Amino acid sequence: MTKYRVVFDDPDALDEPTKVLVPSQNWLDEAIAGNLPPIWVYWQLQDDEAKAKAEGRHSEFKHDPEKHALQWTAPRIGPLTEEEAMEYLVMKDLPRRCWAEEHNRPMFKIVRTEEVPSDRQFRGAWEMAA
Amino acid sequence: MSTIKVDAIKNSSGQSEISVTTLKADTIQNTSGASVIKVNTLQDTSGKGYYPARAWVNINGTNGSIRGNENVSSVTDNGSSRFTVNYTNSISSADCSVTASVSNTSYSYLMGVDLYSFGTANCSLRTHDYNSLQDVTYLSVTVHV
Repeated sequence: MTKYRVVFDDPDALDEPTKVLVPSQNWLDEAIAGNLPPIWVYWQLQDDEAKAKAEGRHSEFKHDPEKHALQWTAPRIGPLTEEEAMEYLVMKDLPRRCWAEEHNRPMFKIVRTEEVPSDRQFRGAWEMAA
Repeated sequence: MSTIKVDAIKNSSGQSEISVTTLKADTIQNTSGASVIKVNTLQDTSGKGYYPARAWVNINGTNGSIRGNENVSSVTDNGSSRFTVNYTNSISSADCSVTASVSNTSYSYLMGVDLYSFGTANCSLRTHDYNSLQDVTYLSVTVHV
């Protein structure tokens, strides 16, 4: 079992409890084996879906088949360490506003499982990142 | 020795169609040895379709840990009995079906689950009892397109 978690705050909902991302062991095994596509493959799909949402046509949204197939057909990026895989996962599964935009404090931190606050009303991933 | 190695099987008109009543094999591989079978549709010999799930996961709703899954890269515990299931590979369409069930081994009230957001990369659910959000022992989610 992976020893890592990602704790993060959503800059659009700072009053909500800190969120905890739990990686899938299946996915980590694939990452460590080198079976992931470049991260831009996922970003491209996220961008297309976000555009459909913004234009009010999400309910009928379908991915472009060629872009969608890149998830399996794009050249693999090669083996990652567990730490590199966690950084990849942040860029794949956390809202982009949490890690790609500048804030006056860190919005996420990769931590060991035992560091995750047991109080699920905990707020302030930035305190853990300090 | 039950090993069949092929790159393609086609009927006489060139379509990739295999129709058999019984196929017995220990291993089916392509010629490079990989155990991968790729098809666009699955049918039995009468033409009746099979519709496999695109993702599934069994979550411990008390801490967000994952008991088992396929095509799930992570689960986010959003706090207040709310979870987001992130798919390893995005599904093809937002017009999908998300099925979820809950079970709580130490709680006697009726329990339920709501799907409050979904798309091709993830879906978000919250678990509840008869009047408020409530953590559960088991949250199971299956996705079809």
